[in-house]
Amino acid sequence: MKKRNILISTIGAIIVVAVFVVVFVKKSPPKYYTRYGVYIGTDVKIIYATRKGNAKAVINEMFGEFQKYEHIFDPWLFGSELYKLNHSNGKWVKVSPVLLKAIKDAMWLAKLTNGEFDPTIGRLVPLWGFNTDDVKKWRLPSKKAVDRALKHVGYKNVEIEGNKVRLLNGVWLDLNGTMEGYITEMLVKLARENDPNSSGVVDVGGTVGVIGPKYGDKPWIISIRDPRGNPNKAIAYLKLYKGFVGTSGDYERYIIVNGKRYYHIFDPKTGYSNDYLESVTTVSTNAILSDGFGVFSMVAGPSAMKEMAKKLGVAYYAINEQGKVLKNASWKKYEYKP
Amino acid sequence: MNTNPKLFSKRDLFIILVLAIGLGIWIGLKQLSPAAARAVVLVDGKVYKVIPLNKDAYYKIYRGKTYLMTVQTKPGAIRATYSTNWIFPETETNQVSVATGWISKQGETIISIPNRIVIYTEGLKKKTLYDVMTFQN
Repeated sequence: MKKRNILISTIGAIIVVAVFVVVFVKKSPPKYYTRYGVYIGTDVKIIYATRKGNAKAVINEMFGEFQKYEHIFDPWLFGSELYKLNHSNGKWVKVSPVLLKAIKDAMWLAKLTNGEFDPTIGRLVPLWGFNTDDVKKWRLPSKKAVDRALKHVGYKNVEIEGNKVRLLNGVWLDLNGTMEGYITEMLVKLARENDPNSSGVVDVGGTVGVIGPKYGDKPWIISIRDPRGNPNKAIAYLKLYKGFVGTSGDYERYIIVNGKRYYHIFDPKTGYSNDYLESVTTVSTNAILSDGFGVFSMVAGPSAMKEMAKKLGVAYYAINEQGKVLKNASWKKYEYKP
Repeated sequence: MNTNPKLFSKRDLFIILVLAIGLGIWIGLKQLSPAAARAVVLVDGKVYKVIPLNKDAYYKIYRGKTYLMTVQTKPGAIRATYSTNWIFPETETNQVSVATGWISKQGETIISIPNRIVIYTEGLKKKTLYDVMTFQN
């Protein structure tokens, strides 16, 4: 009788545990794993959950990609692939598939915007010192130096043939305008290849890509940083089930000389930054546009931004230099008020 | 001899019920009990230090022997009070990490790009209204 009781109690306990496991594991939302880091000169955050395999291992694999990217995209890192291309003296250079795709993406946007977005502004960047994190090296260069550098700017000087690239007229590529979009897209793809039904977001320096909706059917809530507030202060929010969002602005790499703000996004026609907008946030299904459209808008101004957004089908939320919010009709479906 | 025993006697059912309630309470407590408030400091992507956010204190962060940053804690919050630049130690950075001020909500971070430091919090009651933030790149 005693043995029978123990046996029945054990069976009962196993059944109860099984029921709890089924209820809590199957019905409970997926467990999100989050990892942070600083790579390619910016901060990275990935939130990921999957029922297929190990989320932590997938995130680690995604972070492992940054080692590769740093040695490809950093134009100021001696020996990087882009550094070598920029110093190839007009010769044809065979480039890796990763760099080739990134150059093609940037050139696509340059052509689309008739050069208002131009990835060949590389020569201008060190003149202003914005290629370094050392603020003491950020400075207003002489007009003469800017004009001299401008002679080596122009996207039509980039030639692509198969897997080879040639930079003419001494231009230097700086792919920062679209690189984060490109990397975000690659990482989202990697996560979805592991599990098409997985959930999460990839945030590479403020360019955010959605892997899959939160808990399978809810949107991710994304805040837009206040361009004149502290780094954790939000000025607005949006909700995103899929796609990409990116922001360009004048508030992280800038100098103020005689009351005028000069920042790191240069008008390829003048070599100086323009003072139309403080910040532009773009939502698109295309990662390159979510990143590069903001750069284009900072250069081209509000009218061109409005017109181009219509043509490209992107949604934007911008703040002009007077602090006024500018947003198009497409933005409404992303708007979120907590 | 009982030739027709019931599958579960009252005693068996009582034991199963007690076990089920016990398990339920254990799972419930595990779900509800919050982790202690703490800040996780990452240097070069690796956990450098986990700092409890339960007292007033200062901590210095190093890479090897190189001094990088000082952080200050108070119950439920942390901030960077000074950040140097390991690439150009003789100069200053733009001190974005210091300008961030106190962080006291889950989801907020302190970032020092030149020093490759990320500080985030865990176990705080207050949470940000967002999952991630978009900002200029």
